[in-house]
Formats: sequence, C-alpha cells, structure tokens
Amino acid sequence: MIVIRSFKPSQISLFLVIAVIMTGLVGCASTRQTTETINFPADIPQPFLSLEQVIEGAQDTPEGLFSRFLGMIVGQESKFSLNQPTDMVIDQMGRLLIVESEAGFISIFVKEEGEWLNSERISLAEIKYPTSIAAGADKIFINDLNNGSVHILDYDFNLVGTMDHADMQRPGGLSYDSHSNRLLIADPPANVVFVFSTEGEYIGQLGRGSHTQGVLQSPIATTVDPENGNIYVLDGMARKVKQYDASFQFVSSFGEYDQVPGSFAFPKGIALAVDGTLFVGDAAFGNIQMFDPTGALLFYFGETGTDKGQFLMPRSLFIDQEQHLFVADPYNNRVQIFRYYAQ
Amino acid sequence: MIGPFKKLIIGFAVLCLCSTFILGQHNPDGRKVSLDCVTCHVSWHDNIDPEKSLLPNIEAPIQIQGMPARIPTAAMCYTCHDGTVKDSRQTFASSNHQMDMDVKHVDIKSLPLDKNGKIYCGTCHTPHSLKPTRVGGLAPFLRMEKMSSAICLDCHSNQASAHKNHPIKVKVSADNSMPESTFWGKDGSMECMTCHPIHGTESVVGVTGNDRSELCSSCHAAYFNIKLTDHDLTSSLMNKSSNIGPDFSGNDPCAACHVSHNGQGEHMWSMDVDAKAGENAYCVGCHSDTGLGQEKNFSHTGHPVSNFKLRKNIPALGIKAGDKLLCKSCHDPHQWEFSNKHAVNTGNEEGTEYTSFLRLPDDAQGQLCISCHSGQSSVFDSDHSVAREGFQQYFRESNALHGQCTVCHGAHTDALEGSTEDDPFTVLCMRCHDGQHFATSVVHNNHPIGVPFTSKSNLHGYKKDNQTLLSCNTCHDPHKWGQTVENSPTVDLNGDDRNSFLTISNWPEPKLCLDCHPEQETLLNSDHDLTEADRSACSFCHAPHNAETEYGIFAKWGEAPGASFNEKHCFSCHNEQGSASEKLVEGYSHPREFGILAPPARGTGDWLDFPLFTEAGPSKTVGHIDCFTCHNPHSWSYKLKYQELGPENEEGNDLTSFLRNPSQLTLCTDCHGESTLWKYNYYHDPVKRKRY
Repeated sequence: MIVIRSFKPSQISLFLVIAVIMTGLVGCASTRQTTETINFPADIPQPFLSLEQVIEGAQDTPEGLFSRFLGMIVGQESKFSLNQPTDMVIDQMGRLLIVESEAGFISIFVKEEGEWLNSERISLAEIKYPTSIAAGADKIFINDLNNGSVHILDYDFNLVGTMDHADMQRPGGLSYDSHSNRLLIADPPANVVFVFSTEGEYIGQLGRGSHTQGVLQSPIATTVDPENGNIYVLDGMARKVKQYDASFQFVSSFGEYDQVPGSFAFPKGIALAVDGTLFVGDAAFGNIQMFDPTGALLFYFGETGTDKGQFLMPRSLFIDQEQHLFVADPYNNRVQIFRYYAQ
Repeated sequence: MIGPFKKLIIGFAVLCLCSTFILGQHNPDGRKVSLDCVTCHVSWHDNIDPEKSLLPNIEAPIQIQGMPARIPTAAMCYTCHDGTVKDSRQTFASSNHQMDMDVKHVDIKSLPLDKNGKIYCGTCHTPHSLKPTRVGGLAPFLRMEKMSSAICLDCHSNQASAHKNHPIKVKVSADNSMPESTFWGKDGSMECMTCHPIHGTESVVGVTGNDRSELCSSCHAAYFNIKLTDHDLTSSLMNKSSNIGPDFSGNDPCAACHVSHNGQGEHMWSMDVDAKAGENAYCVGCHSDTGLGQEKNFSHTGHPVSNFKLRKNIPALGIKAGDKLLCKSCHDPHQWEFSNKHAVNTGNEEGTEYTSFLRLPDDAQGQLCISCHSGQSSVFDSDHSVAREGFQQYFRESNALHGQCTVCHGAHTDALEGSTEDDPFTVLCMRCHDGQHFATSVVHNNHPIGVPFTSKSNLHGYKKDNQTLLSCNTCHDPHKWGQTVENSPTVDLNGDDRNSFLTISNWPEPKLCLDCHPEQETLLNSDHDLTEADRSACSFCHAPHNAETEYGIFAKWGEAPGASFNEKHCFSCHNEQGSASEKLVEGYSHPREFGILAPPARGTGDWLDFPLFTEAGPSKTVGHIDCFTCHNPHSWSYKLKYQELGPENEEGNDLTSFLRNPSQLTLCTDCHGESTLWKYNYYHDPVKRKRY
C-alpha cells in the first residue's frame, strides 16, 4: 500500500495498461494451448470434439514468477520438436509418453494446469526403433522394430524383460488390456495379434483359426473394452474392424475397402471411448471416423493437411480416462489432443 | 415362380455384375486393373463417387522434368512403409538422400520429383520394379540400376566425369579395408554407392567431419604414408589454405591436395593447376616462386624434366620405355623416406639423399640415379666413391649431401649455382682437388685449361662465346676410373695412363694426348718413344698435373744438369748415367749473354721456325738458343719421307736427328754472316772441330 501511494495515478494507470498488454502477449508468445477454437462439428452448439492442445515439441517450463513474466514477454522457446511421433499412452502415473520413432526417443509430458508440458526426453540404448507404446499397472511396453521384439520396462524406464515369439515378425501396435491385464501386440507381417501377460509370458494369438472371418490380414492396431474385455482389431489389409471376445473368439466385423465415409482405405489407429464409440484413423483419408459398436458410421472429422485439426496420415489413437482423444500425427511431427464429449 | 430361363438370365446378370465388381477396377485411363493394383491405388476403386470420396485432392502431381507425371506421391508409400511392413526405413534416418531434399545443384533427367521439385521416395523407388530376387529385378525396387551407378548418374552425371572426379567402375583390390557393409559394383568394382551410402547414417563412408583419412586410406593405404610429412599440409602448412577450401588444418592429409569431385585435372586437385601443362604442373604449382612450396622452388637449372622421353624400362621406378620423365619419376610425393614408409619429418625438415620423397635413395650406390644412368655405375669402385676417405672427409667439413651422385650433381639446382666462374667443371673438381683435401692436388703447373682446342673425338669442354674451351672434363670422366690393374679394391689408387678417370685411355698409345695434339704422333716408334708399363710416350716427359714447369708441363727431371729447364729436361736422359748416355752433347751452348730476336719479332715467320727461350719459357721477342731451338723431340725428321724409322737407335743425320726444318731465314747468317757455316761445324761436328 505504501508503495502504491508513492505513485501518481497516471503512473498507476500506465502500469495497468502495460500489464494488460503483457497478458495479451502471453497468448501470442506462448506456443502451448491453441487459442483457436476448433470443434467438430463446427456448426453446432455442442460439438462432439474440440481440439484442446497440439503438442509439437517441448516448451520451457517456467519455475518462478520472474521466469513466467519473462516468458510472457519473449515467448516460450521450444527446446525440441517432436520427430515423427507414432504412438502415445498415459501411464498410471498420469504421464503422457510419446514415442518419437524417427529419433528413437520417448518424450515424457506431465499435465500442469490443464496443459501438457514436457518434462523429459529419454533415449533408451536397448531400443533403436520404437513405434508403439503401452502402459500397464506398473510396467511400460515398447516395441523395437530393429530387433523385432517388445521390451518391458519399469516406470523408471529400466529394462526388466523382453517379449518375443518364434512367429513374431514385426510387432507393431501395442495396447494394454486392463480387463485381463494382458498386452496385445499387433504384428502385420505375421497376420496375428499376439497376447502376452504383463510379465512377458506368451498367452495366445488372434487371427488364425478355422473361422475365416476371424483370420487377420495385416493387423495394425488393437483396442480393448475395459468393461468386458472385448478386443477390437484394426485389420489393415482387409480394411475391417474385427471384434473378438476376451477368450479370442471372433465375434463380428465391419468395414470395407472403399473411399467413401464409413469405409477404410489405410486405417492405422483405433481407440474405444467410454460410451462404446470406436475411433478409427485412416492414413489415406487423413481423417478420424467414429463408429458405434455395430459399425455404423457416426461421424468423421479432419482432412489431409497441416493446419490444426488436419492430419497427415494419422497414426495411432489413444483415449484416456477423461475421454481425451490423442492422435499421433507423425508427418506433421505433432500429437493433437481432442476433447471427446462422450454421450 | 421364376422359370429356369429367367433364373438363368438373372444369374447371368448377377454374374456380370459381380465380375464387374471383381474385375471392374479402373485406372484413370479407363483400363481395367486387377485387385492387386487397387490394394495401393485406392482411387482406382470402382465404387468411386468423386463427391463422396474422402481421398484428398492432389493439388500438384509428381513431375518429371517439370511436366506432370502419373506417379503417386510419398503418401502412398507411407501408408505401408510407416513401420508396418518390413522395410529399410530405419536407414532413412540420415543426412543423405531423404525426403524434401533440394535438387538445385544437380541435373535430374528422368526421375520424378514431388510437387515442390524436391526428392521424395518415389524419385528413386517404385513398387512396379520387378522384385530384386527376380531376373532383371532392380533392388530395392529402384527405378534404375544401382549396380552400375546408373541411378546416381541420372542426377549426378557431373560428379562422375573423368579427370575431375574420383573414378568409378574401376576394380578395387581385395586388400582394401572398407567396411563389410560397403556396396560394390559388378566384379568388385567401385561405384558411387561404394563411398556414398544412400540411406546410411554417414554421408560418406569413413568420413568424420572434414577428415577423410579413414575413407581414402581404406583403398589407398600406401599413400597414407604422407601423414606428418612436409606434403601433409595439415601439419606443415596448417595456417594456409588452397583456393577452394578452408585452412589445411581443418582438413585431412588427402583433402589438402585432392578433392573427390570437381577437382582440377586428372588428380582431382584442390588447387588451381594448369592440367594442360602436363603432369609436372601438379608439383610446380606449389614448388614455384610464389607457390606454397616456394622454399623448395624447382629451378630449371637442375635435372631436365621437360619433354624428355625415356628410352628403356626402369622397373624400380615404375617407368616404361617411352614414358616421359616427370617429377614423380624420381619422387613419390606420398612417402618421405624410401626405406621407412611411415617416416615423418618434423615440419620442413631439410631432406637427405635417403628422404626427400625419393622413390630410391641416392646412397653410396646411387640407386636412384643409376636406375637410369647405369653407365655411370663404374664410379662406385673408384676413388670417386663417396665411401672413400676423400669424400668422407669432405662430408665432415661441409653440409653437402652424401649421395653418390648428389655430392656433385644438383638434382634441382645447378650444383654450382651462384658461382661466377665460367668453367663450372674446374670449379667443381677444385672443391676437392685443391690441395687442401684428401684428393690429389692439381693446383700446380697443370695442362692449360680455358683454352680453345680441336679434338678428333669431340671431347667435351665448357662453352663460352660460341667456343668450346678446355676443362677438366675434356680429359677426365669422373665416373670411370679406367683399367684397374691391382687385384684388391685399393683405396686411393695412384693412377697412370691406363686409368686416372681419363676419357680416353692414354696407354699404350697416348690416344688422349694425340686426340688434340695429332701432330705429335711422329713421336711414336721414334727413339724418344719411351712407353713403359704404365706410362705412355707423352707421359714420360710431360705431366698434365703438378709438372716441373708450367711451360711444356715437363715431368720432373730430378737433379739433371743443365743451364736452362730445357737443358735439364733433355739432360735428364742425355747424361752419362741416363738412358740416352750414347747421345751426349758436349759443346752446345750458344753464348747466353747475347739475346736473339725471335722470328715473330723480326717479322720473318712463326715462333716455331726458330724457337727461342728465356728462363721463364718460350719467348716471342728476345731469347736464347736452347735444345728445342734446333730440335723437335717429337719428330725424328722434319720431312715425312725420312720419318720412316729404321732399326732402333739408328744413327741420325742432318735430315733426321729430331732436327727442325732448317730455314733460309735462320738467324745464324743474319748475325754471323759468312762465318755461320764455320761456327755451325764447330759446334756440331766434332771432327771438324778438331780441324779448327
């Protein structure tokens, strides 16, 4: 109060004006959350999704008031840019782990005040070419296309084990089955989905059998319904989504090869929302399609491009417990985060 | 109920529709394609509805030479090659050929580029290539052959032109140390990808930063002996640079001089060089007045290297008959020392006959020089061998090179550069034969030099004013001792007419002397022909070096009697104990108190008509009568017809007896008038003397 009284009113006014301008500059200088509102659909009051954040790299995390103030003025300097992020997952510690396949890094983000900020970027000597990641209760699973295996790490990223199988050729899409505490590994060249325990023990396979509809042709990704353990496999070359029960029995499938909405051309990622909505990303279309459990198309959004809300051959999808849809957009070197307003 | 005929029609129609669906995929040209094509070519799917299609519009297609080409973009490749299928994308992570690569500096002829005119995967690769495992297949799914570098040369043709770039399609020795993963062309030949891995992590194999040492030495291991020598410019001239690069210190030993691409001339030079000037231009470019090696400036006063073809094969130097003599004929610029391939010099160290980048040393056997000048090898067993004490003493006293040849000959500069003397040979010889050194002194009463001469055999001399003047090399060939009569290789031989480095043997016949003095040939077979076992007739009386007198270069006569040196010379034999004791001269002296005018002074003829002498020697003005006034000891008779000799020691008469040609203009009558005859008889006729 004493300090304020020593200023003249005109000086105080000037100070306030400057503060307002600084605040405005924060929005311009920062590269964190998008200030542009992107909703899908764009023309209805309650959209299905809205773009919340685009992660393109790391930003300095201000630690003190002065650092934050300085950041307001000069903007946040990006320490690095994501290098072809192909997959992501949120582990039990609430960390967002992004696989940068081109660089071989695992970038770790933590949420602060609703925003994902980079905390660390690590490179694992044992893993040369990771493309997919999954997180269990106390373990992290990362594939390595360099040696055709899946590594098991603890939450400190210490290597604790390896999963491999004689039939395993190129383990790609990883997903954690929280219902059965299992890891699903989609292996496109092997045309199967391997199932392992979180300890690394082989359990079984999906995709081979007498039921022709259940046979897989280059499975790309999987997702699991935590409620009942149903497994949804994105069968790439068949251009279908195939459903299996928790005991690996084929249930149903939908989808066909075409170029119109509801069909698939080069599907790459699949995720299941809490309300049963299946999200399928298609690299050829550059979009995300939403289906109900029967395979009926509900909605699709996005298109090929480099702007926010557009995608360049979108890859893996991930939905967290708060129904945020994470889309790996590797050729734009970013991860886009959408808020899904589940029904 | 549907009748059978209608069923048939319906079934046929269904079949047609199905066939259309199954087989009716169409490409943009309207041609039917198989389902295999549609696997990738989504847009060829038959159920196309442009308004409903989710496929993005391609705003700008792939192009070839600027024209649209119906070739898919990279997106089609990445739909599968995103890690889903087994591919080599891991190797794409490099600084070599990758997506969005600028193509400003190359000339792309027939390969497609993306809409921005940049390289993309489809530029080189196409799934429509036959499988690599099939005959004719291009691996891996390349548009053009890589084994022959065809795909590289489609863009980089300017990087393979001869004489500017490192050659390709050359066979490489199996002894190379290139990595196992190195790509080789057909039959182990070198191709572009041998050094340039297209998708590797290093831009060029074995290159770290600016250091190409590992790469170059993988094949050119022997050339790497250059490291840390004066030709390793990264150490010897680290603060200087070539005209096309950074300081030498930022480079490697090879790159200081050679660049792999767009170099100058055949050797891919990193500096300006006039390649048309020939191979030596690479050397002279630096070893010139203003070049980087100006401290070792090559002067043309040394060994010839221009337009000089060799006539024989010299395997030791890798020379074939017909090859030109070049700097590199003697020098290996990559190796400092002949015998120690890894020898280094501590920066601008002065070379020796064993180093100096010589292919062979100029040691005591003169290996380098003798490889061409084999005819000079006789010097090794002579007193002119550097192994002899004479030269060893000289080496101890001077900084001269110790090479057999270079001790006298300068390979690159005249050994006598700086000398103001006209006669270089004498100057060179006198460096040792000066009386101060071990060699025989020739400083005292020698055969005249620096005089014009006429030689039957065209003996050498030195040139001055369009004349050839006599020098040491007229009579001597310092490389050839001559006939050695002693059995053991005796050091410091005492020479004679059979050897002594004479150009022409002077024994038994004095051919060397007679080559210039043919008129003295009359001496042979006369009573004055005193040829011995080691001395010719000339050498009995004359000594070309260290003579008793400067005039006549008379050999020493010991304690001979006589009033003049002529008399002493003659009386050394014509005395009672001498070899000519039967021809004694008793009364012989014309009074010496009377000087006589010589014919040239009197204008009556040549000096030889009536030679007169003083104590110093011949006089062309006033002198005394001496033995040689009347006698020519070289000629028995002044008339040829009387020159034919009879039995040895035949008694002479007034037409022989080594008498000169009598002249009507003799001085005797000029002074003595009518008493001349009386006086003549008195002095020369003992019988008539008694009458007087």
